[in-house]
Amino acid sequence: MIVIITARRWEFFDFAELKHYRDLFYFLVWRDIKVLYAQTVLGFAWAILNPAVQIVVFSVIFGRVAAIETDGIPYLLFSTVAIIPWTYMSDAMTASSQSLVQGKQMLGKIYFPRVLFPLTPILAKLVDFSISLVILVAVMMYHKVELTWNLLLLPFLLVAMVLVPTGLGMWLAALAIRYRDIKFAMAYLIKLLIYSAPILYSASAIPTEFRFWYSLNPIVAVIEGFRSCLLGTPIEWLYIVPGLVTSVLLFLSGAIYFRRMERVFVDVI
Amino acid sequence: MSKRAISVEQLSKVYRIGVREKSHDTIGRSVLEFVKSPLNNYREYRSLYKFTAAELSDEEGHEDLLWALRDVTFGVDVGEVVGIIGVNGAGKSTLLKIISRITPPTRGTVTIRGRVSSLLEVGTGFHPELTGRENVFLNGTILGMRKHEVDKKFDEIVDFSGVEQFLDTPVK
Repeated sequence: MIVIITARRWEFFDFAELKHYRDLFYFLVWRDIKVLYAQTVLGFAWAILNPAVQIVVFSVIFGRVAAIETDGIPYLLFSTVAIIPWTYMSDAMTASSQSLVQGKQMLGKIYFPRVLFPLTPILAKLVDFSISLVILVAVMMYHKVELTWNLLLLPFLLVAMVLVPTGLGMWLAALAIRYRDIKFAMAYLIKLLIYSAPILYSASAIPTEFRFWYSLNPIVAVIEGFRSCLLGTPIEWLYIVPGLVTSVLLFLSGAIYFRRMERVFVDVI
Repeated sequence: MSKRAISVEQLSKVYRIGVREKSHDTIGRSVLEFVKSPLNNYREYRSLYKFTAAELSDEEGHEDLLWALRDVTFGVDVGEVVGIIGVNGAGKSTLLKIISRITPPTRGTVTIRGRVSSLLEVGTGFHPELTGRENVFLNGTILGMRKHEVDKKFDEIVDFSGVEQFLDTPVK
């Protein structure tokens, strides 16, 4: 193995190197999963409890008190199919954005592909997501939802659901290591983002003239997609396609930005 | 004929160091500075890793620049043992950090044949909640080993550590 170290400003990902470090990636993900609920009594039950509490609170406030219009879908069902993927996206994004700052001990002492830092929580949080699917299945069974062919869309939506926090995570992690402001901004960002997508309300409440701009938000695509895919409502391609395109762009730009910035991480810790 | 293991050519590394700030003698000035501080902070953090061509080409005259290394060239052959000696701040750590790819050089190249592992950093990836066994695999792969390589060395590593009976207990 020959390694050449130069002052060159930028090169794209070294895929051979990433392949070499795949075992490390596996152990980092394993560590994240194992350590997350270490020394808790409830353990992985937290992965169910967290979204469940949110679903109950939102169902009471927005479903009963505010009685939001949901195109005839029971509010509990309406919010559950959205909150489950949303919880994954927001958790993964938050963890990913803090990954470099938290790993700065390692960052300053040893070399391995830096991009493993933001990617690790993206995979590790999928375990929580899988566990929280229990709630989704239970609510869908309770409301006797009949599955339709729309379900075939699910694999694509899952990819988009992972791409969004990956792209944002790479952007935010690279920014957060230099500007610790990101940590404080994240709390607000997550709170605002939940209203940027039709998670608690229906997308049909958006005036037609704003639809295109609204649909550029990749979270809108994932949430709308999940809803029509699981509940069999008509697929609103106009809401889904633009967001899928943005999620891919977000991922690519995040990867490029991260790669450009990773050389300076250590010098600015 | 001996082979080159490490060759370092004209390696330079520059850092920006803090310069004492001017103090303000009026309240008005201080308030103005406070309002402007986000912009100043941004400039300051940015300047930590951005250097202008003029700053890099002038040899002297920039009091906020520190050349930790300047035009260092040497080679190490396979089988050679080399020690680096120098006073505090001579650039020993910077040199080792560049060779181990932790920080990039400002100028110059390093060519390495083989794998770099720095003994300084043993235990960097240790996590108190993981068991001894898991930590061995995590740290082995952090050092650039593949899982099957760690498998092969596993018994040797455990013998060396001498804590075989605690292998499946969290290290904390």
